Amino acid sequence: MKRRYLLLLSTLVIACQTEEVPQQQAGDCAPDAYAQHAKHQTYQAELAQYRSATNAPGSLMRIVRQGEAIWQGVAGQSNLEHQTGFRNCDQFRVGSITKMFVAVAVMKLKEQGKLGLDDNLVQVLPDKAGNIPQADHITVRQLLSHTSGIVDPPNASMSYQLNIVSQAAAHYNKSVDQLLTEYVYGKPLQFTPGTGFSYSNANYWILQQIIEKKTSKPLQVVLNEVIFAPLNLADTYLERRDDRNVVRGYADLYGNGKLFDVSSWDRAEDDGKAAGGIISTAADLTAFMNGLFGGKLLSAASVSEMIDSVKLPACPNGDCEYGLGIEKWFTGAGIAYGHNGGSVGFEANLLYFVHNKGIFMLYKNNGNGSDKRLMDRLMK
Amino acid sequence: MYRNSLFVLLWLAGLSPVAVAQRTAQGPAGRPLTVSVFSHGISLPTVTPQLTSLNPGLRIGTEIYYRNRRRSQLFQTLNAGGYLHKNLQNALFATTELGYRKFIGGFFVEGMLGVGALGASYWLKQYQPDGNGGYQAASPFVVKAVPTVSLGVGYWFTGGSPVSVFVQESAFGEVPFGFRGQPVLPHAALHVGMRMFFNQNQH
Repeated sequence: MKRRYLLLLSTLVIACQTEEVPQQQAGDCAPDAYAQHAKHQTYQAELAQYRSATNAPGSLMRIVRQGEAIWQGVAGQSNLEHQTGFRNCDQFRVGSITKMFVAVAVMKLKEQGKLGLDDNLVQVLPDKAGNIPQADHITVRQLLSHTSGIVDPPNASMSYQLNIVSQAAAHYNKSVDQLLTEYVYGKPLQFTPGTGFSYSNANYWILQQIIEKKTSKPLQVVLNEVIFAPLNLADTYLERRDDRNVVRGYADLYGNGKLFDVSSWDRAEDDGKAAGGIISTAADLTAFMNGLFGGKLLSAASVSEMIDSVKLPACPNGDCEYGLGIEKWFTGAGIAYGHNGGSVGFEANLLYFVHNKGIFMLYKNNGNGSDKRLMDRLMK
Repeated sequence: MYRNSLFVLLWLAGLSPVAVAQRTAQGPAGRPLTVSVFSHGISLPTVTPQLTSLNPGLRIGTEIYYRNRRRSQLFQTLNAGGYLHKNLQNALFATTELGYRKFIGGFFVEGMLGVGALGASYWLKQYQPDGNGGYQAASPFVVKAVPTVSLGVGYWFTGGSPVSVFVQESAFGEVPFGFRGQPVLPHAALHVGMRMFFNQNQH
């Protein structure tokens, strides 16, 4: 009898039901001619090697270079449950690349005279007084450049991380204000505002609140008005939607070569939030970079201010690697501006090369880090 | 009236003078059966997550005594159990811990360190390399060795059939675990249980 109960219990555990993974809805990508590109073989081989080296189920790369046709390629799969092949038009989470979009929205408000970069936090969000130390000394500029000293729960709080692992659905439903209340308010700053650099997603949670307060509109509406609609980025959005068509994310949680589908964790952490919530396509992302650096979104002065590195005691000559929502990369192919994005189940990179106005977009649906030196070879 | 009620309660709680007098110079002999129900959480060993989100579990076990005195015990536990975590995994486990228990009157505090094996079936889908550069579906069941640590307090009802009740916070970790550089996935369980001696023979 005891043996029977034990067997029943064991069966219940081992045969435990797993979450449903939805199948991508049918739909064809527009035909493309990338296979006819003169460097197709070279680019495709580099992409395949990148996917293989990073143990990613799938990867995608888009290269825009002056003097040659745009190339884009895919390798592997976007959804392992249904063995769906990666497609050039697939939508994926871009993670912290979202911060560039949010920074553009802030700069637009500045150009419109609705917000000053040196406005302090108490001026723009009075409720932060008493909740965030030295809120009256933290400026919008410091939030954009991660020099506010505010803590970064996604990377530094074990409690935050475990909450995603164990209660993804509940975390998904938390508002930005709830996240700030739970993980940021009352926490000491890492340094006096303006004296150091420490990347923090919480800076962009607060910027989301500032934008929404100043415009009286949800952030996704502002992004649509300022960026998506003017550039006709029809496949890009921030708000929470059914994500069955979004590329699935995977992670090797135990370091044994097996991958878990962690899309629900990525969704819980990112969707709808200014720190990493945008879902887009490779074509839309490169169109955004063209629009930004081509002067279609902001004035040249604003773009210059965004890419100009912050001045800190550690890098007084402007050679820090972050501006206002934009990273500065010193690559083997020259200086590039853009952003890296990543979460548990994916990594994305979007960069604009100054010397040749090239744009490089690289994505994989495995959240481990990666060697991106193929960029040096391909963007010289 | 109240005095009588208090006396009855104390008697039921094993605090009667008779019960205390029956406590031997050594602890109870034989092997106890320990049964506890618990709420499981993926968290550091703090109580709040287990109280705010109930993920039920059951553990049964016994103890082997290396030192068994009236005021303290040095012992090894042998446990088996399982839990249902509604958002992450269901699991079976077997653990053994080396523990020390200190008695103060009928009350005791205890601490244990040990190791175990955890067999967990995730809600998340898992995939494994297919040998051709791709991935194929794999069982979501994983087996991990886990270190454990437990702290508890309780009360020992003495008498003809010694029984103790306890509250215990137990923690164990899955190592390695790859999430944002965290090397371990910590589990915590808040137990409420009892320990019973069925074959007690006085030393």
